[in-house]
Parts: sequence; structure tokens; C-alpha cells
Amino acid sequence: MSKLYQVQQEILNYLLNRSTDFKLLNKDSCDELDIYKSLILNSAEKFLASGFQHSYTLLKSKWREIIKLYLENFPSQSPIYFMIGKNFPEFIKSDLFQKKFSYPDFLGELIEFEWTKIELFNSDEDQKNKSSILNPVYKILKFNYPITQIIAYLADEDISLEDKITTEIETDSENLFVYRDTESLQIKTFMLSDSVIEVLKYLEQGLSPEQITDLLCNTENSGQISQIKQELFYLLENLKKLNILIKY
Amino acid sequence: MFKKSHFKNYGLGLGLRKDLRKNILELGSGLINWLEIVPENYIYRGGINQKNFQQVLSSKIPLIPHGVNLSIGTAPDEGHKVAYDKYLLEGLKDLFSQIKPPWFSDHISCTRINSIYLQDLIPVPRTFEAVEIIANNIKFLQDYFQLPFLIENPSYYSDLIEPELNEVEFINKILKRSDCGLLLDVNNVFVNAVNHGYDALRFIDSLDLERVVQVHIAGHLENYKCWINNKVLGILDTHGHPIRKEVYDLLAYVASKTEIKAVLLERDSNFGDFEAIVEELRTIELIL
Repeated sequence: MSKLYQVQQEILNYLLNRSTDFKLLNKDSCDELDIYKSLILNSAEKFLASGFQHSYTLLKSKWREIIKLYLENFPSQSPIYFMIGKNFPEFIKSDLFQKKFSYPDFLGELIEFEWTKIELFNSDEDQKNKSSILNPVYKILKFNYPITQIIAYLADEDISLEDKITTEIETDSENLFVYRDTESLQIKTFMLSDSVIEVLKYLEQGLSPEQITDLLCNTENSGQISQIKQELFYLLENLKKLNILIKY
Repeated sequence: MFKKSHFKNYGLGLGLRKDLRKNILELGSGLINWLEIVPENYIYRGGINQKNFQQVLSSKIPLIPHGVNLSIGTAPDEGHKVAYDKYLLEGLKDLFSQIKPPWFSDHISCTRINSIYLQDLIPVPRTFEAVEIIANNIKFLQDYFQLPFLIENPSYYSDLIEPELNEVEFINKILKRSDCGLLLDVNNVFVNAVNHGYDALRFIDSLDLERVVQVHIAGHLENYKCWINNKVLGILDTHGHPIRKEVYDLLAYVASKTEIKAVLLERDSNFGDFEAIVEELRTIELIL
């Protein structure tokens, strides 16, 4: 094994706080590496604070400590910078974070939502999947908390930070279709009921509206066929208007 | 075989950053003849980023990639001759096929260890062994992309271990062993000269200037205090501050000693008033 390889393993261990026992790096080198550590953290803190802006509102006072622990335990394995946020939801749900910091119960879901927005904003799925009926840049998220309401609450400047942190929010399940609008290229959300999720699942499989109607009628009262057809028609029209359905 | 005469003259360029894109396109050609892109920002990306990039592509202004994550200073694992990330290389190959650059470049640094990206330019110890490792990595990249490669002299804040070579010797040996070109960053020369106490002009005189193809010029920050150990660093290379006269003087000095095929103003933050950036471009133009 080359000496350079060994030095670089020590550098990695120092930067990730995994060891203090070095054979090749001396105390001065470690002090100098602290400059790099500080620069790496400065950029990550700034980037993650803007990407996870609502979570940041709640975690601001401990942000540096949180990001340091995150980078040490979930370092990025991607050459693309925005991907440093990829494992943030997993970190927040891990014992590493949960045993050390206090946080509201909905935080894990909030962070998952925020990461999904970053991921979809940058996604190249539309270039890979050009024949899809559904907008190809989307994710369906099922939450136990009313995440959209929570975000509105956190963004409300009339509410104090203290209240935002301490107010207990009750569970109330929410299903969201998070997607990138094909025209504005901005990320949008659409609230889903269980039946709409089912329709989306069929659309994803490439079924036509007639086939979907048949399937839904098999599981419902066949006397309601015309009503189901009409409701499906309105739903599909709406999904089209919202750029969720793009080749219908 | 490297020959400076094989490189076309591109003149003055500016780094394409998302905050500058509109201003650059409005400014049009004339002052800026080409744009440098950080290629990692344009691979595997869709949405607005891709749309804006396509708009720049359609403007026909030449684009030259300057990477940050090729990590030519990474030592390969046991049993491997070179160290590279297949995912990154495939993304770059696809991008290069769109922009058809005349060359590409990256820093003499290590940004990836094992499979972890460090998100900063970590220096490479200046040893004979490192020269061989870097040269092998560069040769592999030049073969893979079938393009000339330039190494950039980075700013550095640590030697890490006792060096076997000084900075100039290290750079010259890499240039020779890998047969690549040099992207000389005159701001980095200034930053290193101040931080490590050497003479910048002497440093430039000792370089293999026949291999200088491109030059970077940028601003820096003085007296950076590291919040981890409270130590103060003489100068931090930021690309976010106005260019100092001493750095312009270094550019003039290099231009008087060798032909430069492309000069780039690097500005990565504190974009503020675009007119101030245009002023800096005009100053560079006068020097050239």
C-alpha cells in the first residue's frame, strides 16, 4: 500500500473525527487540517440551512453541532454537491441524532419532505423517461403529520420561534403528491386521498381511463358506474390542468 | 505530446455561476469570449438547472470545464493503478460530448478518499511517490476523455507531511511525467507565497512556463480566523473578493514571460454589482 494512501486514510479519519492516533500526520498537520474542516462545515451549514429551511428554523441553535455530527457519520459519496443532503433524513431518524438533540416528533417527516423537494428540483428523470403518461418527476409521500400545515405554521413570521419549537402538533395523516411542474419547473404538492392514489397507481401502470373505470367498478357497487366515470373524468382533467398528467 | 501551439487562443473568460448567468448572457460576446463551467454542476441534473444550461449552450459561447472532483491526487486502492469514480467520469463524458471543450482541468488536490467526497481541495503531500500517482491518474483521464488536461496549482494551508519536493519541483515533475498543461492560478501563487513565505516572482520564474495554457485570476480574504482552533490564516483563497493589485501584477508578469491561451476571472461568491466584475474584466483585458 502506498504511503500516500496511508496518509489519505489518516486525513479522512481526522476530518471525520474517527481517530486521533496517527502515524504519519503530526499535531501541526492536524491543526492545519482544521482550516479545511472549518471550510467544509461552513459550506455545508449554509447549503443545508437553505435546502432544509423549515427544519433549520427549529434546529438553528444547535445547527453547527448537528451538521458536524451529520457529516462525520454520513459523509457524501457523490461528486455532486447538493447530494450532501441525501442522507440527512436518515441521520435525523437515527439514534445518533435522536439521543443527543431534542426535536419535535414531526421533524423526521418534515426533513423527508424537504429533501424530496431538493431531489425532485434537480432530478433528470424527465430526460430518461420521456414516454410516461404521468409527470415523470414526482414522489408520493405518506405522512403521519399534516406537513403542509406545519410548514405554513413554521413560515408564519407572527409566531415566535419559542412557540414554533414548543407547540405540540397532533398527528393527522397526509398523503402528498410532490412533483416538478413541467412548465414552471418549480416543485408543487397535491394532496391525495386513498382513492386518488389508487388511480395514480393504475395510470402509472399505463392503464387507460376506461380500464381504470372497469377496475374501480369491479371493486365498488356496479350501480355507480356512471358516477365513477364522471368523477374519474373530473379527476383526470384536474390532474392534467396541474401538469401531473402530461400525456393524457 | 504536449505542444502549446496546438491550443487555440480563447482570450478572456468568466466563470459561469447561476447568479451571474443572466448578466453574462445580457453582456453578450465582446468582452467575454468564453465561459468556464464547474462540470460537476451540470451532470445528472434536470429542471431549471438543465434549462438554463441549454440556454447558455445555445448562445454558442465556448464552454471550458474546470472540475473540482476528479481528485487526481487520490491514491488508488491496493491492486489498482489509478483512482477514479466511474459514475463521475460517465457523467462528464456525456457532458463533454455536448459542449465539445478544447481541454479540461482540475486541481492538484485530493477531493475523494475511498468513496467519500470531502467537499474541499485537500492538498497532496509533495513526494516523489505522489508525482507518480498523480501522473498515472492524469494519463488515464486524458486517455478516457481523449482531451488535453491541465493541472491547476492550488492554494494550500498545510504540507501534511514533510515534503520531499518544493512546490515548483512538484508541479514541474507532474507536468513532465503526465505530459499535460498547466492552468496557472496567479491568485493561488500570491496566497501561497504570503502564507508560506516565498517569493511569488521567483516561483513563476521556476515554473515550466511553456506548459501554461490557461491562467486564473481571483480575489481573496485576508486574516481568516479558523473557528475550530482560533488560529488566524494570513490569506484564504475565496474567489469572492476584489482582485488585489499585486495579483494583477502577477498576471502581467506571466503574460510578459509566456503566451497565455485563455485567462479566466474566477468569482464564486459576493457577486454584488456586476459592473464591478465587468471593471475587473476590463482591467485584465488591458493587461493582456
